[in-house]
Amino acid sequence: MMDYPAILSIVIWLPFVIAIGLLITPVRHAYVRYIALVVTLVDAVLASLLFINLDKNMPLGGFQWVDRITWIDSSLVKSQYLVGLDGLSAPLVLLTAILGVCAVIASWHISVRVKEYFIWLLVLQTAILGVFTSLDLLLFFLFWELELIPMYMLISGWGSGRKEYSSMKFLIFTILGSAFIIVGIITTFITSDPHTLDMTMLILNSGGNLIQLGFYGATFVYFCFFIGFAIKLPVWPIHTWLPDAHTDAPTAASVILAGVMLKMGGYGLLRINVTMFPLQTVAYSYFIILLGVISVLYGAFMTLKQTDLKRLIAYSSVSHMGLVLVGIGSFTSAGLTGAGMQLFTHGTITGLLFLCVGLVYDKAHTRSIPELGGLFIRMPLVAIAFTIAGLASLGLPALSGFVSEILVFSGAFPGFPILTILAVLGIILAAGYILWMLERVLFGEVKPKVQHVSDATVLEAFPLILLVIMIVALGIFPGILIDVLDQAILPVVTKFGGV
Amino acid sequence: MNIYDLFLISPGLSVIIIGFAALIVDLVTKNKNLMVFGILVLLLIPLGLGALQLQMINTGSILDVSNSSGLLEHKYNVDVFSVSLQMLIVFAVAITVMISANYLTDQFKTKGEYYTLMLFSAAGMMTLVSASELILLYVGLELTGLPIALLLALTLTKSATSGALKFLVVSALSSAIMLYGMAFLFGFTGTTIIPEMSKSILSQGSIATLDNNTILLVAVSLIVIGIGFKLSAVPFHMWVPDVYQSGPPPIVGFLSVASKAAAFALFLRIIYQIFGDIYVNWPLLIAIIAAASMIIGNIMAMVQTNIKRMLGFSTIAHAGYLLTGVAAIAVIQADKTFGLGIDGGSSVLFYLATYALANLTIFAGITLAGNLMIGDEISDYKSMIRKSPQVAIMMSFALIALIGIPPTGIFISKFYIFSAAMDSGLTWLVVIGVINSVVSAYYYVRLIKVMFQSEEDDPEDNKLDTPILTLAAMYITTIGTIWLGISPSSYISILEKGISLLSGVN
Repeated sequence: MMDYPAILSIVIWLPFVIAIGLLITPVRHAYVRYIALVVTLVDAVLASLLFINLDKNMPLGGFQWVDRITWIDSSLVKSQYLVGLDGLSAPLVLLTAILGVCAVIASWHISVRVKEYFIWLLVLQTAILGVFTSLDLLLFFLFWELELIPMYMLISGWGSGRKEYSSMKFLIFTILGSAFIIVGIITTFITSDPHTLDMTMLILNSGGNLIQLGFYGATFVYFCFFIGFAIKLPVWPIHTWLPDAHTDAPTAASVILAGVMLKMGGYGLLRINVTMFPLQTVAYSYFIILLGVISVLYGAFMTLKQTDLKRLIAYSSVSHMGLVLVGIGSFTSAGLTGAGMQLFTHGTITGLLFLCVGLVYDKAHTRSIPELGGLFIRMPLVAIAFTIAGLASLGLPALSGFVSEILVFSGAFPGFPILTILAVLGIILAAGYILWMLERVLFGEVKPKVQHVSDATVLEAFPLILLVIMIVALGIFPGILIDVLDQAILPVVTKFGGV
Repeated sequence: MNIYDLFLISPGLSVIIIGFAALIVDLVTKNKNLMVFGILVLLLIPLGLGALQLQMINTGSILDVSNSSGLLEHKYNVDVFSVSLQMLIVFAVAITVMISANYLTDQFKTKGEYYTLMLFSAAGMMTLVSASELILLYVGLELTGLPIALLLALTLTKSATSGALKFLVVSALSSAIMLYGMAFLFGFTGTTIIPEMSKSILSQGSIATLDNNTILLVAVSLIVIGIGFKLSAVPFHMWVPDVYQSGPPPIVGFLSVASKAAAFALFLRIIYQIFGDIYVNWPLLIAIIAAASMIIGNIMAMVQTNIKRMLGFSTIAHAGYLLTGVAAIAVIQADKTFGLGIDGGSSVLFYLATYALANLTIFAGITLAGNLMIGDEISDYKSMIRKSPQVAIMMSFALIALIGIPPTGIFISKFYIFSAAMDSGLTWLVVIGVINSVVSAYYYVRLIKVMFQSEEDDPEDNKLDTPILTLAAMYITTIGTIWLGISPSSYISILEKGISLLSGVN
C-alpha cells in the first residue's frame, strides 16, 4: 500500500486538482462543501497513513516517497519537481491535512460566493502541503508564494472589520519576506558548486564546502532566509501583520493561518537555516534566543490587554512562536525537537482555540470579551473544548503544549540559563491571560448577547473532538511525535557536536 | 537576388504584403469581420514560414549560403535568435489585431490603414531583429517608429495628437543620436557590417590600447543612448507616460511589447558582436541605468491614479529588470576581464516573451474597459469582478505575473535574470531588483483590489457584454503565461541556442 507510486504527490495535488475541477465545471453550490469535505478527508487519511508508515531510521538527508522529475533544464537554471517526506515534514503534513478538514467544517455556514471560497481554500491546502514537502528550493519558493493569493482573497473577500487593510498588510509583509528568501535562494544557487537547488544535496553537504561563500558570505544568506521566515513565524518586531490578519480573517482562514501558515516559517527555519547552515545557527544562537525571548514576553504582555478574542489568541501565537526560536537557538536535540513539536502542538491548540472563537462569534455575533460571559451554561460542549485548548496553551501537564515547552526549556537552559528563565516568565504570564480570559468568557453571569445562543451541532463538534483527542493523546504519549522528529533532527545535531 | 533570398526574408515580406492587402480589402468591402479574420488567418503564413526556417536551421540547411546569391550575407541574419524574435513579434501583432477589432468599430471610422500601419511597423521590427548592417538597421528603426506615431494620432483628439507628436520628436531625436554614433563607428572601422566591425576593431590594436580609444567610446555611448530611448530606460524615459496615457490602448500595448522586444534584440546584437571587444566597464554603466529605471519606474508608478500612466511607469521598471539581464551578459573570467556569457542574453529573451504575454493581457482588458465606457482612472475599475468576472480574473492574474509571483512565466524569467546577474557578480543589482519587485506589488495589488471591490446590489454593476475576440486573446495570453511558468524548459533551450549561435559563445 505505502509503496504506491506518487502517493505523496497525490496528497499534495489532490485539493488543487479538485479546485480546478470545481472552477471549470458547473457544480451546484450546494454540493461544493460536500466535495471539499470529502477531498480534505481523503487527504487527511492518506497523510496519516504516510505519517504512520514513515521510516524512523533514515540517515541525514534521507527522504521517503520521493518524486523526482526534471522541471527546468537550461544551461544556468536547473530545477526539479522534487518532493519527499522526512521526520520534520511528516508531522506538519499531517497537521495541515487535519486542519484542512477542520477548516472546511468551520466554513460550512459560508453563504456568499460559496464555490469561489472553497476553491481558494483547496488551493491554499495544496500550497501549504507543497511548502512542507518540496525539496527543491525553486519549487519550495513556488509553493511559498502560491499560498499568498488564496489567503489574501479569503481575508479580503470573506473577512470582517478592516479586511481590506489587513489583507493588504498581510500581502505586503509576506512579499517582503519572500524577497529576502529569493535573494537567499539565488545566492545559495549561484555560489554552490556545482550549481544546485536540490535541498537533499544541500542538506548532505551542510557546513561543508558545497556552498563556496565562506563563513560571512553564508551568514548573509543565513539572515536572508532568517528574516524571510521570521516574518512568517512571526517574530517581534516584524509580527505586526499577524494580529490584524487574524482578527479580520474568516474563521477557517484564521485556523489555517495560525494552525499551519505560521508553521511554514518555523519549518523553513528548521529545514533551511538549522539543517543547511548549522554553523551560523550555532554562532548566532544568542541573538536568536534573545529575539525568541523578546517575542515570548512581548506577545504575552500584549495578550494581557486584549479585549477581542481573536486578537488575544493572535498575540498569544506571537508569544508561543517565540519558543520555537528559543529551541532553535539552543541547537540541542531537546531544544530542536521541542521547537519542531511546538510547531505541531501549537497548530492543534491554536486551531482549536480559533474554532471555538469562530463558533462563539457565529452564534453570539461578538468577540469582545466584556460582552461575553456565562458561555459554560449556554454552550457547554464548546466551553469544554475551549477550556482544554486554553489549558493546553498555558502548558498544563498531560496536555501536548506542556511537552513541547518543557523540551524547549530543558534544551535551552544549560547553555542560556538567564534567557531561559525569562522565557519561562512568559509561560507564567500565559497562565495569567488564559485563565483570566476563560473566567471572563465562560463563567460568571450570562450576558445579554449570549442569552439565546445554542451549542455546537454534531458536525461543528467533530473537529473540536478530533483536536481535543490529538491534544490529550500527544500530552500522554509524546513519543509518537518525538520519535518521528528525531529522525530528521538528531543527525544534524550529532554531526555538529551538539547534545 | 534569387528565390532562396526571398525565402530568407519571407516572414517580414509576407507581413508587408498582408499590410498592402488590408489596404486594398478596405477599399473593396466594408465587412469589418472579414478584415480581422482575414488578417488573423494570413498571419499564420509568416508564423509558418518562421517555424519552417527554425526547422531548417535545426537540420543545418538554411545557413548554406551557396544556394543564395550572397546578397544578404552578414547583412540580414536568419538564425534562431532573429527568427524566434520575429515569431514573437508576429504573435504580438496577431493578439493586437484581435484586441483592436472591437475597439475600432467603437472608436474609429477608419480601419484598413490602421492594420496596414501596424503591420508595416511590425515589418520594421522584424527587419530590426534580423539586420546586422547599419543602414539596414536604420531603415528598420524608422519603419518601426513612423507608423506607430501615426497610429498614436489616429483618434485625432487633442491629447492623442500631442502624445503622437511627442513620440515622433523623441523617436527622431533618438534616431539622430544613434545615427551620429553609427557614423563614428563607420569612420573608425570603415565598414557598416557589424560582424566585420569587430574584426576591424581587433586589427587596429590590442585591447589595452583600445581602452583609451575615445572615438570608439563616444560611438558606442551614442548608440546606447539612442537605444535607451527606444527601451524607455531612465534617463531617456520622459516621453513614456504621456504617450501611454494619450494613445489608443491596443497600440500602446503593441508598443510596450513588440517595440521593446525589437529594441532589446538590437541591443543584444550590438553587445554580443561589438562590445565583446571593448574594454571599458560597460556592464557597470548598464547596471546603473537598470537600477535607475527600476527605482524611478516603480516609485513613480506608485503615485499614479491613471491606469495607463501607471502602466507607462511600470514598463520603465520592467525595462530596468530587462537591463539587469543585459548587464549580466558580461561574466567575469578567471583573469578578471569581462567575457560574454549566454545566460544574460537568453534570460532577457525569455523575459521579453513572458512580459509580452502578461502586458498584452492587461492592455486587452484596458481596451475592453475603454469600449465599455469605463474611464482611465484606477478607481473606474471598481467592481470589475461583478461587471465581467472573466476579464477581472485574467487581468488580476496578469498583474500577479507582473509582480513576479509564481506560477507565472515572469517569475521564472525574473529568477533566471537575477540568477544570471548574481552569477556575473552583480549582487547589489539583484538586491535592488528584488526590493523593487516588492515595491511594485503595492501598485499592482492596489489595482487588483479595486477590481475585486464590489458593493452589493449596485444597480450599475450589471454584467457587461464582452466581445468574444478580445476574450479569446486574453485566454491565449493567460494560458501562455501559465504555460511558460510551469514548463519553461523547451522555450529556454531554443533561446539559449539562439544566443550561443549569435555570440559564438557556448
